[in-house]
Amino acid sequence: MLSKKAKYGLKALEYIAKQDPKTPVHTSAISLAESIPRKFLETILLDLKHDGILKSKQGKNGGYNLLIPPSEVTIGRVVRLFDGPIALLPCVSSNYYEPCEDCENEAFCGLKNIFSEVREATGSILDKLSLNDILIRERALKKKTSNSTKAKPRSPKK
Amino acid sequence: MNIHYDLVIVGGGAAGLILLANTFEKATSPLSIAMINTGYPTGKGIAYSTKNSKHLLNVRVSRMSAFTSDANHFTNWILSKPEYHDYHHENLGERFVARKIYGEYLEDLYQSLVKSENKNIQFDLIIDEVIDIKKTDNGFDIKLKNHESIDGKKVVLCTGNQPPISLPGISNLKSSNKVFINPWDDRAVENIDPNQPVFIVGAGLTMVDTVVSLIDQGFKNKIIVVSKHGAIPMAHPVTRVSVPHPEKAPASDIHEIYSELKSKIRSAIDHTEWHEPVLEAVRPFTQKIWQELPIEQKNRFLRHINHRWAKLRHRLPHEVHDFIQSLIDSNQIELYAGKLEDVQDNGTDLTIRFFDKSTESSSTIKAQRIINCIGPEGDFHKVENPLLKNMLASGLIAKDPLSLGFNATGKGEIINKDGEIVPNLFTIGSGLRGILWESTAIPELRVQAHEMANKVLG
Repeated sequence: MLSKKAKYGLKALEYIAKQDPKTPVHTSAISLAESIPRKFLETILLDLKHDGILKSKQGKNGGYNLLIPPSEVTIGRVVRLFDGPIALLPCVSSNYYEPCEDCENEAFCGLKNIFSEVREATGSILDKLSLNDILIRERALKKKTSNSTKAKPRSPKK
Repeated sequence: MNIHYDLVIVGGGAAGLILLANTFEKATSPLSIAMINTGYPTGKGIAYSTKNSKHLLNVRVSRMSAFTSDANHFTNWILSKPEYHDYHHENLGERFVARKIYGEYLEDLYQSLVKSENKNIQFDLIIDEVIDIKKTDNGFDIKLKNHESIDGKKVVLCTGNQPPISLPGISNLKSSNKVFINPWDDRAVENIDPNQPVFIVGAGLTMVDTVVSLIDQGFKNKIIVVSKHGAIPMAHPVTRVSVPHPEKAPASDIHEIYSELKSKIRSAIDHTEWHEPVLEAVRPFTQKIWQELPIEQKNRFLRHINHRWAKLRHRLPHEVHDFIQSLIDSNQIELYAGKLEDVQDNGTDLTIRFFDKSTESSSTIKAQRIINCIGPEGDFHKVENPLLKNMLASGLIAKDPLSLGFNATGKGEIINKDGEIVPNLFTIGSGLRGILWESTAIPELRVQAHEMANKVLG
């Protein structure tokens, strides 16, 4: 499962991505809007800054902005930053590969074979989709809901 | 390194919120606060989360303010709400309004704190469950279920009432979907079969709430209520009766205190038809009397007097009392003094055997479900809350001599298993029942919250 940190990180980035890119976004605004405890948020935003995803501006009107476009911030990058490898076994990780200590022969390991598939499927989603996709999907979902409430099927006339 | 807070409030029910509000009100220097809440909406807790507007407060509006410094805070809040114009009467303070309304008051209070202008306070709400608390060199390490641990310099436990964990007298019951041990679980009154009776153990305030919920959904079948003494709580008078009364009972012998109270109650009833003034007069002294009683006297009270005290003390709004009484009079409620003896799940229904004191024999009844309405878990050692279990195991907290709640000083300072006060670890509310006796209702809570706010800011 995603850690609270990773989830809060993604929610905070999503919030920042929705704001005017020229105006720094204040921590308290994110905290209030996304119900993220502020002290947790502060450490998360610092981690995102150190990773080069966010930039910050000090001072009264300071805050955070994206340093790179939302389409370049993959979900996989954020998840790895907070939660480490996305692979469920060390021997199937592409970025953090380690052989399993109790493994006799990796080449014939059925478990590795299955979890390798899981890793590929997860990676193909998380590394392909970005912050931008979160925004696009949210808009599409909202549109779908508003359409379905607007266009109520008429009951057939008897 | 953990995230650090100056103050951590464990529990976001009414007690936690009222403490938070009092701390906001008084803080004049920078302070970081985290309140950790789970399970119920922030501020409302179990008590004020009910959505049923027929569940009424058992305390008059005028006594429900969250602040000792502003006795009319709740009254004025209702007056500011156009949607409650029905209540905008001269005698609003005397009335008993829906608990749901009080829940909204607490929610509003919370929102006003979040948007507060008090720049000294940095506040975080953390939605999570506290699993354990350990003492460190400069405070406490607070372990959370879903977040990383946090540090707190001072901690106040506002863990509230713990749900009951077993049916009274039944230890060998196998799990059954017809047995509702925790009456505060909404499922206890959902999916009711109109064609079969419901069996309730306990005849106090929890029973009243449960019956109100059942009748509210149109339940017309029998409700069998069995309690030790077979008596429902008494009623509050329509409007508050006040007559001057002596302020303090002698704190020498519990039976003497009780017989003096009884004679005063008799005389009050002769003069006013109500016993309420005596209880109102004695209430400010209850905590002091209780604390001065030796342990064996407290035990005697619990054994011999508590049930009679509870009936007098935990009164119902008159309209609720009359409603329950009408159900008894029409035989929809069958009320027995007695004891549960056996519960068997037959698959389609339950067969319940209980001892009926009036006939001095056992009776057997079939019912669709049994709902445990004996009130909060009375034995602190039996509670299933992981935090309390872990803290009891490590010895950072211990049960009071009566095993009703935390061992603590009368001011809410926690006493550990070695009998030492743990600096900077406190509690308010229901967990102090064994120490203060009167420690669950808002009139007591707000006083504790006011004093605790001074303590944590000091």
